Amino acid sequence: MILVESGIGGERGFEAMALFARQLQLRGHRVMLDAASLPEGMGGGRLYDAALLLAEPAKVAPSRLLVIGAENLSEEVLVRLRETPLAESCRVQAIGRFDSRQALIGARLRLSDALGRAVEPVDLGRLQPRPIRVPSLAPLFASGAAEVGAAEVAAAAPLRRPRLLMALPGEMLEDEATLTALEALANRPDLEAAVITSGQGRALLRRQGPGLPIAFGLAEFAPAILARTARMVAVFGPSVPGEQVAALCLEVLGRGGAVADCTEGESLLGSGAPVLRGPRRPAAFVSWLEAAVLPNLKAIGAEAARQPWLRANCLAVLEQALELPAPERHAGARAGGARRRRAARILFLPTNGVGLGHAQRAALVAAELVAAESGVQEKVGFAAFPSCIPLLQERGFDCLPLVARSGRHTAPQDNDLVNYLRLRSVLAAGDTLVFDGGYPFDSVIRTVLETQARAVWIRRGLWQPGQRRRTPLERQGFFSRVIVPAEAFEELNAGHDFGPDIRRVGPIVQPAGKAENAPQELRARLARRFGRQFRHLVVSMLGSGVAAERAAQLQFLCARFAAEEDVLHLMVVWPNARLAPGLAGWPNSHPVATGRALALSRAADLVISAAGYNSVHEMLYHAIPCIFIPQMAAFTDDQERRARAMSERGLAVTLQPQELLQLGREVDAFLHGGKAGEIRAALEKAELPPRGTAEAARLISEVARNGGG
Amino acid sequence: MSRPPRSPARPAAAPRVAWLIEPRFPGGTSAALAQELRAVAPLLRPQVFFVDSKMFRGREVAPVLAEAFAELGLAPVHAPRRIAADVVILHNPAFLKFDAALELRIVTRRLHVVCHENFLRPDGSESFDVAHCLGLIERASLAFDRTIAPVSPWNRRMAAAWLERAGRAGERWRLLGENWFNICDFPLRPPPSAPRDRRGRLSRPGLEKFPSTEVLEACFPPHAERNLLLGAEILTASAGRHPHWEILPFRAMPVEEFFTAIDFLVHFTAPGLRESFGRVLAEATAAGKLAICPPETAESFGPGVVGASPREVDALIAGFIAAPQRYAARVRLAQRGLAAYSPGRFRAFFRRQVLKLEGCGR
Repeated sequence: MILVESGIGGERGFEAMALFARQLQLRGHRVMLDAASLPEGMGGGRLYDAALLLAEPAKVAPSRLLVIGAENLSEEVLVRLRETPLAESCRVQAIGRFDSRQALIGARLRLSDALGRAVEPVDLGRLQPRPIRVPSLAPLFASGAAEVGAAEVAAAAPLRRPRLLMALPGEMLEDEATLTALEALANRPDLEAAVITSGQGRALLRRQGPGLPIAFGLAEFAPAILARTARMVAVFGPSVPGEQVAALCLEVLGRGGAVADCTEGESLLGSGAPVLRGPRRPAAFVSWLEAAVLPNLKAIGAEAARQPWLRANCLAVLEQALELPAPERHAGARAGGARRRRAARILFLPTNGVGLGHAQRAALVAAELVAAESGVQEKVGFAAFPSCIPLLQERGFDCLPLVARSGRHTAPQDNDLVNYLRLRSVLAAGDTLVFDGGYPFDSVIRTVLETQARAVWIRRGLWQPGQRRRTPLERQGFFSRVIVPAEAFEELNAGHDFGPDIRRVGPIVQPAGKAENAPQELRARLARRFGRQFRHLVVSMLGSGVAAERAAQLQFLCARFAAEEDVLHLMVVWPNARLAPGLAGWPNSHPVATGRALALSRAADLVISAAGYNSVHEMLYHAIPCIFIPQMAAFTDDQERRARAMSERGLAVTLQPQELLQLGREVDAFLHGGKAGEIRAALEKAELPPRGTAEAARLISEVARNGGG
Repeated sequence: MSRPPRSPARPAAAPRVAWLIEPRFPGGTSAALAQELRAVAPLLRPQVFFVDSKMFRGREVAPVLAEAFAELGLAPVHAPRRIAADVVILHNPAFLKFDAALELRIVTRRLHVVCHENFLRPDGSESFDVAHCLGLIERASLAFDRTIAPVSPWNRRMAAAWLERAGRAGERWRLLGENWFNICDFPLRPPPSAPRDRRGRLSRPGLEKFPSTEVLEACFPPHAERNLLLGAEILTASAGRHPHWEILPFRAMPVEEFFTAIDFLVHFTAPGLRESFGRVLAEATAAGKLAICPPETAESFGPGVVGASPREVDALIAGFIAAPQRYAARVRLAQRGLAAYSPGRFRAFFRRQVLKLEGCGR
């Protein structure tokens, strides 16, 4: 195990350490950072890299300590190193660009005095006389230069269209001409453009809305990871904006890609690196790219890979100087994450925290996959949050438990860090991850990028007005395929985005199983269970207070049914949901925690429900009379439109949450005025599009087999 | 060419001696130099020249030197362009390690470079870029004779080893026959009649001055009555794990007070460092306290200073506490050893090695 340290502490030192350590790790070396070196308050994407590296030296016993930036050793770092427990046999090497012999001697002695052992200096000035000319603390080398050719890169790249990464300073994104150029690039079918920029730049792009390229932060992803998705990098602005982008350029060059130096200072060209001189303005860049670069991209990359400069700046040179044992695997040959010594896996990840809609849908598709293909059963599994696990296990799927977000965690992303490590440990290149949810978490995106697993996103098609923000949709680019289950009514499907990776399928709706097909039997069981006969069964599914507070509506119903001896009112409570205290103890009303809401609904005379995708389509396809009370929160889809589409066709009733008196009148009409029968009859006559579950399963299977496209 | 006016204090036939110094060394070099100037004052009027090095740029002249200049009425010349003297003495060439050039001209019959710092570490690696520093001095000087003057036996061994290893560069320098020792002119105090387990260490807070935490734990254990660590601010981070250590910053307490508060000075450094002289051991001895240090460091002071390994410290201290007379005898033996480093002995050395030039002096 190699412990990496930096000559200076703080965020700058940590970023440099993480950059270098991740490069070594992806190269196949076993690498760690001292947990004590993590700066206070460090957050964001860098924590994900850190999570893969941090360990306690006392527990891991590193066999080698590499100190980078050794030409500038801070007292703070030396004092910490002095207290770092290292085995007698731990070899210590100080990597630096020493501008004099004295600087080298001084660094060696200072480290040696702090650690109480011999230190071997490694002078980058001698080892790498013509480095990429960017001020850097981390040694900047190309990972794959010697080993990976363009052909191998093309085979490893998960994307069918070449990805162009454009490093742009935030202020350039204030320029209308730049935005126009970016929009033109974002809409090219033969290219996937992405921007790397500062926080300010990302905020500017986000304000522009959809239609512009996806944007990454400067230190959001390890360059060695980002380079896997790119065939070309273009750097704009006064100069290369730091070692992260410089490292990215090297990685892309090393992987047989092309780099364009569009900076004013020409710092990459000045280094002697085999890069192209590109136009300084993005507007001019577009036509240059089209005419000169894209037709020759493969040849440009291959030519760069042949250059002696690149060979002199490849990581193997440093590995040799450090006498590092040969890594177990190379970045180009094997991706990070779990090592696969088994059949390719298909892992579903539904995102539910409290409700079960995504888990239900994912389980349907997974079951269809299993049913359609023999021998696939053992390959299909789930990674799921605790609320979904009983349902999924009941359907016969193994589950990797994920950690739900909690107010008890120190930082909001703490759970996602754990999930990242868990996902990464079970997925490998060749596996397929099927994400069903509204917003792909960082853990999902990172796992996909790192493991080079294939990825499918089953996502909503119905967005609230103004909700089609960049953030969720810009993550589409990480998926090999996006499956959009259709709404039953065509007006709800209008205005969808199209693209080669986006496939629409019919509505995914749970079919009636054995339990669902015996409503009378279920009613009899319920009568026995609650010790009383009833004439009307009412099921309410109004959520659990996360998307919208519905305690008042439920209390109204409980109060109303308390006087109706012939009514049994069951309040479906999702696992992990909390029931408002005022809802307990009402006569004729009972909370029910169940994963079989459809069976209850099919046995019911009336369902009072929120208007989520699953609920509405189950009512529709199973002809269940229903009153919808839509829930509208920032993260939900447009339940209001969906519910209205039903009620406008006479297939349900839609009420606003505050319409309590009308709710009472409608309940009367349904139970005692024959409205339930009328609605049921209308539902049975409705013409519905065919279900899309089998098609969704087929599309996933195609990705799992062929990688999509 | 007119000669500079002769100092009235300098006998007519005595050689002219110039000291070329970087006056901003914060520790032992400046202290030793101040003592040296005082010691030779009866023999001649020193000419002192200041060099401004990158190593100490922006720092003040060491207070101990400023006091000596004031006391002796010396007016050092800052940044001279040219130095001409019969003998030029340059103290501690390591100050040149960050400089690209020594911008002056030295014309002399004999140039002495007093080492102060060991040229080599115990493992044989260089302590600084010696060839670079000596090279700058060579290029700046025109001299019949250039000597390297070690300050202690260990320092001599390291200088000799370097000269041997340096090949042609080493051939241009000669190792002085005697050690240019640090003068130890401290008032001698009697040892305590009943020494207690009060231990201490005193050094600059440089990492090189500190052994590993394990060694410190062995030398300064919880059962000691007192563990006073002066100049140990780098240990502050581990203070929580060592509540029995009194950690004080450098110069947080007068040196006299420090020695009054302890009975045993336990002095070990990072394993890669060997003290070239070990002035703090002499100070402890003069203060009537027993000094314990590595045998190679103790060598400079004769049998009175106890040479030991860290693991032996605890038992040694227990033994001396149980036998106060043995403690007192050992301290007095060490104090007698200090006589070798008296100003008088230095003057005698100075006459032999510095003032004795063909055609000059007494």
